[in-house]
Amino acid sequence: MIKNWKVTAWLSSPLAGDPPQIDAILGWELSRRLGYKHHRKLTRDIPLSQIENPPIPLAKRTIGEHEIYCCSSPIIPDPKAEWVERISKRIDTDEIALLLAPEHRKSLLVASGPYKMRYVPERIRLIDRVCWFVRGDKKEINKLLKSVYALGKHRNIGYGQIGEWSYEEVENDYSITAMQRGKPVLMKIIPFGSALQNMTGYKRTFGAPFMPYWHPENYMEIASPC
Amino acid sequence: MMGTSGNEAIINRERVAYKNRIVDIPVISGNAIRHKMVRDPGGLYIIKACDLVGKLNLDQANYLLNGGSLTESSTTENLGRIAEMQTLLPLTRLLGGSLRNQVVGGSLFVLRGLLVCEENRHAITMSLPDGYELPEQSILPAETFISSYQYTRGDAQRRNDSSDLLAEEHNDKTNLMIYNGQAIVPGAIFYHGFVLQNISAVEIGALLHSLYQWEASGAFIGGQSRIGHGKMNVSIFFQDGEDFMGNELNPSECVKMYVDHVDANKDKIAQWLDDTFPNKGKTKKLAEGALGL
Repeated sequence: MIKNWKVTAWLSSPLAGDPPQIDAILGWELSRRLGYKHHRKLTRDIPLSQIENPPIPLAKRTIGEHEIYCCSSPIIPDPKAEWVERISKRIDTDEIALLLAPEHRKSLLVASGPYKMRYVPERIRLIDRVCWFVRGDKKEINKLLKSVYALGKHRNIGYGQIGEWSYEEVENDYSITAMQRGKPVLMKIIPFGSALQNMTGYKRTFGAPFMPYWHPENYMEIASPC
Repeated sequence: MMGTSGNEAIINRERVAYKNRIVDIPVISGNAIRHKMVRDPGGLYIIKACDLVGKLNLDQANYLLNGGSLTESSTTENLGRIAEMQTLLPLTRLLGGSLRNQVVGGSLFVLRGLLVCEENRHAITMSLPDGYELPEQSILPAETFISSYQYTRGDAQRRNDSSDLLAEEHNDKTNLMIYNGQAIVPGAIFYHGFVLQNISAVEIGALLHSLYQWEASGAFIGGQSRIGHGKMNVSIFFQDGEDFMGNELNPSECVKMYVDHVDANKDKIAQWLDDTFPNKGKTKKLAEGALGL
């Protein structure tokens, strides 16, 4: 049943990078389950007209000429701690020297190029939860989210691990706007336009207002909550 | 966070919220666990099993032991090559990796190694599978698990027999060096885990086999392992041993399936590596052949 929900991911490890939009998580997970070809291999040069968006269990609303999902941007508390972690990678030359054929045992440039050693700084934040306000079907949302184990960057090495997903029903729909002191405040990235009249709490910028958020074909002038 | 304080090496730590304050607790990074316990022993096993020792080129070795590097640009994705890779090398389907012109994702999540201490109680409790829990009585705080070491690096000039060994007499300043750092006391327990998504029994076998290989090679992790630090005693709990169809999975059968798979596909694996990472000279010759030169 379609209702208003506050969805919370309780984290059991620190978050690397930024938390994602919840429609993107649901879309990714549903694409995987439906076996969509582009689940893993959608690239920047594949036109979006060639792909099918998965039917995620969120309500939609028309803003301007675009249909967007009713889900807020991620909301995170002030981090309890914040630091820079280093992610390293190097070729173990002492290990591989004898594994190589003799003609390939040569001097190797490790300061630049494909074999460059890495010691990359990464912003890490200690937060205990990430929240989204959504309007959708809780049962179906939970079916998808229960397989999502981690959020943010470097999930494969233990960052952003989720201990539990929780759902709290809310009376009002805060997925796109919320009222503060009698004025609507923007809660979600939307295309910049007339829908923003009288609205506060956003900045005008350039980006994608719907998933896939990284695809250049979706880029336009947007209003982003701040 | 890790580094040095003066000339003392500080053990890797991460910040944890504990009783309204932030404390720095020793941790084993997921990156280290992933490489030392899975990719490195798993890659070495494939190299030995396929009789590739001394026959690899740099890109092949880099791919199997470090995940490869993107060295060419491409606007197309070769799905056939990815499918071959995932069929022939279950380990790389777990870990992912970079072919020369395309990055292929993996399906393995490695959790960080959390020190079992009072400050980590909440984080560990959230990660523990259903049915497991920490004891209710207080566990020791993290600082009780930290000790220190100190070693001296010798100097050949200072040996008693240096005049016999060295061709000419040196009267340089001594090169003797004292170095020290922090270590975790023996008996401390680290909790971590692996989460595998959308995988088959042979990939579970690849993971378990890599862990067994790492254990058989001494089970070391972390710094100064060359002189005995970081030797682990490993316990593996295998939970929810069911495949997608609900059939029960037996860990030793999964490992056997993987070993049999690698054994049966030795030549195909070697051929795939040659085709995917050809020698630079070979690429040139192929191109010349294609151009009719």
